[in-house]
Amino acid sequence: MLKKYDLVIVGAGPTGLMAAKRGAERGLRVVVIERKKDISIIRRACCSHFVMDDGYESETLRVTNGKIVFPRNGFEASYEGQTLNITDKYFNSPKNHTIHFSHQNEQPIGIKFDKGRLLQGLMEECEQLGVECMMETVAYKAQDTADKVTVHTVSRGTKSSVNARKGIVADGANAHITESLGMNKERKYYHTAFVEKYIVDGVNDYKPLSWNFFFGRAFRSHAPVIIGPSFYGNDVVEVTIMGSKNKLPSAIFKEVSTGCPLTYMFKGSKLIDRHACSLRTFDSLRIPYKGNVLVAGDSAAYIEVEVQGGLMCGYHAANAVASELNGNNGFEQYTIWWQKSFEFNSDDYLKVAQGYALVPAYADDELDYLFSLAEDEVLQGTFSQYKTPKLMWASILRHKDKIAREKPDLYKKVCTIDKMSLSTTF
Amino acid sequence: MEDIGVSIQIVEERCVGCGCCMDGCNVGALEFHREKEKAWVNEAECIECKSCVDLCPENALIL
Repeated sequence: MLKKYDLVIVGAGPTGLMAAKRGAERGLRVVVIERKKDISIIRRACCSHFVMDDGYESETLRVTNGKIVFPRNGFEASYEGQTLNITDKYFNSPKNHTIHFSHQNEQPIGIKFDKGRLLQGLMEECEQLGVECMMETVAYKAQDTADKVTVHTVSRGTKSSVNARKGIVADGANAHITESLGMNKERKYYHTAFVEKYIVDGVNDYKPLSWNFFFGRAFRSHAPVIIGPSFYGNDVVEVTIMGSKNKLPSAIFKEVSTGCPLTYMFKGSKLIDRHACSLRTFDSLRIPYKGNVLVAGDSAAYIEVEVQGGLMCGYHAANAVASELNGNNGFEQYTIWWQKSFEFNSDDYLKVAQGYALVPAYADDELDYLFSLAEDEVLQGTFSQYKTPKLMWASILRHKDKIAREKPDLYKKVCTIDKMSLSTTF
Repeated sequence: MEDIGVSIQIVEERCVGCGCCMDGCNVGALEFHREKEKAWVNEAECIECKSCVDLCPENALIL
């Protein structure tokens, strides 16, 4: 018997909508299940910038008028909203020693965009292509059987289910549907981080178009406090705070804005909005499929793939489904692409990324000292969580003889950076 | 099912509508409220496993 849908997609984020659009373009009968009523309203603290590093996630994006071009992956996505070029990134220590990342030619490190607008545009394209979108419908469980995928849903208290020949799970970093399929069992779980983004009007001393990371116990959090630009207005910034169940971001923000070296920035400012999320962190899913289901985007990632990664995953995932339905091994092909394209799938990524785990491993005066050693040069502009710590430590360790001579205990610690664990950061 | 009168409560002033609590619910007891853009719990379905409580970054869900 012919089933109504070829493809059911859980989640109408960048991955899910791009998969739906591509699936429909390939002639598939597609249904998307989304819990929100209006996807253009973003209430979750999440990625809303493109990373412009050459070769990041095996792509080199071009953002031009009205579209985002993916030259290596061979597709485009339309986008008509605002953009902001972010040209500088600063890592700051408690006493304001600063490591500066930037390109010489004002080339942006990242481009901030309006995520709600991007999703709305994709949704409109999907609807024009005949994709069925089940809004205000929560998918809470999925099952894979020999010839179909069943997604269990609830909408306004009424339970139902959707069947399709294939499924793409794109329900985000917390990987809930992935869990219900038993696919998180093979992944290492690290912790659940709580992230809150405070939208603050009228802060003092913010350098326009920059991302600022503040490291140190003085900033009340093991993770960096991050201050960056916002679309809410020229004098409005986004302050990103990471915490945990033991220390909520709201408690950290209160301390940051009232009793830390950053407090002066918040004098006379006004909190105008806040977004939040919890983030269950697992190892990436190296083999992101099982039976008729492909897990794509953040649901299969270590933390996240960013929006650009989501769009790429969606595009390739839909092609993989079309290939499978034609009797070919699309899911295997997708897996090869997935493993080679995302930096967190390489074995040494976690070790290098641990360069972010500066607190509590280093005391504040140690961070002041280490950061001061890298202040004399501007490091290459990069957002990558793989490249950033590599560049930072390479710059600091130009002075390793000096560190060994002046701070022998600190030198011993620096020599063990590859043994640090991100799990102590949150 | 007998109504035992206990379930998860949502503190609306704290809820920012991020939807993360729904990432913990295995029985489909949580949705967005239609008008408020905040979480809504269907008390008849809630099994009080507290998975949603553990995922709320705002401590907006209490048992």
